[in-house]
Amino acid sequence: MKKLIMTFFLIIVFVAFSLQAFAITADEILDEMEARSALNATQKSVGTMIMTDEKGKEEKRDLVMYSYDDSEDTENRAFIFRFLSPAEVKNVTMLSMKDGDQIYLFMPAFKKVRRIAGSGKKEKFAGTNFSFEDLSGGYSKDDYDATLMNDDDDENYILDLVPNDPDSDYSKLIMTVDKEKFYFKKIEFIDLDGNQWKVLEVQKVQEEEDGSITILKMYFQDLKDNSTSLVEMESVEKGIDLPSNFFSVRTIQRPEI
Amino acid sequence: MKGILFSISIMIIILVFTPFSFAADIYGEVSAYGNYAFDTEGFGYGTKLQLKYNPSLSDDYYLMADVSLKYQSENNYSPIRLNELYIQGFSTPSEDIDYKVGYMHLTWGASDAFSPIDNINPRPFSQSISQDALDEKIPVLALNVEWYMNPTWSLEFVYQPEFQSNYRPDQIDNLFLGYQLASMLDLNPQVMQIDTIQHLPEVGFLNPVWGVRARGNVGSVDTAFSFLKGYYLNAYPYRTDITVNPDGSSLVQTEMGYPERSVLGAEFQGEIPGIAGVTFRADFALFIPEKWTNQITTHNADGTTNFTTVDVFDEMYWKASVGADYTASDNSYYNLIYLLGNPYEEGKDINSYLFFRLEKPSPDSKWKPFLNSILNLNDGSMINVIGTDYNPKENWTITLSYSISSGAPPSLLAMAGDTLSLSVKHVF
Repeated sequence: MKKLIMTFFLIIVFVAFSLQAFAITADEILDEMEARSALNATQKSVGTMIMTDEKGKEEKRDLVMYSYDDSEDTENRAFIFRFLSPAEVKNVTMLSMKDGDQIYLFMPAFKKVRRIAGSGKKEKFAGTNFSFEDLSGGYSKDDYDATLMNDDDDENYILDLVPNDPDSDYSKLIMTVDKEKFYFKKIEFIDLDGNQWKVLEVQKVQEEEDGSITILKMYFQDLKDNSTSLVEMESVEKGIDLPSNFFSVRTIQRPEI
Repeated sequence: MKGILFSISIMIIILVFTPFSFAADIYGEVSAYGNYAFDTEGFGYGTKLQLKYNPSLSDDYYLMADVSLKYQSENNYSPIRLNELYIQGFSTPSEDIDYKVGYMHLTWGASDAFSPIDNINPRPFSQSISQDALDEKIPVLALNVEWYMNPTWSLEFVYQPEFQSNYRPDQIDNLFLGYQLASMLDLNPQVMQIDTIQHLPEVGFLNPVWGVRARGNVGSVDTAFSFLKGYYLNAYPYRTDITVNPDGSSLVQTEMGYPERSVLGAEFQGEIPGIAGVTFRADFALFIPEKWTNQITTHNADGTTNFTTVDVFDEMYWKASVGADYTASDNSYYNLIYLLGNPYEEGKDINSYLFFRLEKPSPDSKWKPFLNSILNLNDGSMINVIGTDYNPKENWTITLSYSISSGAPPSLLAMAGDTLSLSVKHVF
């Protein structure tokens, strides 16, 4: 009988330890997401953004985006985002460097590059419902206190992300992550009063041969002003050759990039 | 009547050009404005068609052509304006060099408005403090080369073999001169007839206006240091002959020139440590003028003659623009700038100002109410502009504003008067 109890106890201990050993943490999920998106360092995407206001009126904007993602050092993360049309925002270009810590805006009409800092990042970018903050970085464990909220869903992880930045506009983000491919399917942005403010949904992805994930279509809703933005990429080139100084204020002043 | 005909011609040209422009990759804007000055009960209006063409000539070369056809009911310096016409080369003749050659606008300084370092392009006269008016410049013929020495620092060089002055209508020049002389010599500016002769500086290929500017980062602050050698863009008197008549009126004959000057500049922009969310932008300029005096000869009504020498520039002086801007979470934008001198003031005439701009866009960004205020800290004169931008549809902006000025002449702010303005702009 003692032997049976001992065996039973060992099984319980083994199962408990095994569960502990195989359980994934929220930080590990964020790390894996980052790794999956950073397998290809450089990327050029050309696409469209369709913005709809509260009256249902649509505006279409063509855009090009270059990005650099370094899984070894997120400080090197950078991107350039330029509108190609319509005329009123043509060639308005944003440069994000040092993982969103240094942001510049080039407005062709003013013929100079303007630094955007701090809460300037909360400003809406060129009339879209994306703020500079929304556009400026990924979702690194360094920027959020992450908690895994579920372990019983076969398809998704649900993460609670509380921003480390005390000046953030959000009290937390609720992120739904695909368990198999490790990309976020949906992010709910919760305001400082605890109400849902914005929702970002990824509607179409492409899984590359190396396992990395490319987002092709995403839908962004601002529930406070009842506006939406649908971003769809028509072409995505990965691993392109870019000069070492490409992500610079020099580049964003060029008529064509 | 002429103005109305001119406006109609511009509208016809716009109708002809707009479809063509889409086909030829020409872009630009068309605008019309009207304003009513309450003090003078005067109505001003104007129209503008601006066309830009920026084709690629090869992988490394671009052409920029920017012209305007503009009518305004007063103070129009030219109905047809060449804004820019230059060839731009990137990464040529070597990988780390970009350059432009032709007629161009060059903007130096980190400040959003009234940078004391932004001295290369002259400006047309305007009493408006709207963004469009502040951004309006007259092009200069120049070679502009920027050498990107390393990932952090670049060195810019400007060579300008032709002098171009600010445009200030004769009556405005005479008004300023009249008030200056009246304050010094006890004359009545209302009964003063002024004749001026202006002598341009001898700028050429061997005696150019030139400048250098190093741009880079010091820590997390974007910085630039510059040196510009050239001439003032406004003319100053150096010989004045005044005849005072027995009835108190006077005849003034003045010869004017453009004093030489050097400008040392420093620019900074970045975040203020410890104050999250605020971007500071600061420009400091040290002006080193050549010594410039005005020899005044006064022939009095009683037959006597007086000789006076007035120092216009006799020592170096500072101008500055130090400000900070902040965007709140509701997207309202605040910008406060301390100004030591405005673009029209130099030397002993410099005043201190506070400039404040507030914008509060609606949630859908269609409406953007704003307040622009500028206060002269020396004499208390002030202009407040309240208004709103409205975007009824894509590429269209309507701006309605009411400007209130206070103070007494010769303050430029006081002389602006109270004005109601409406403008419509379409970009294509």
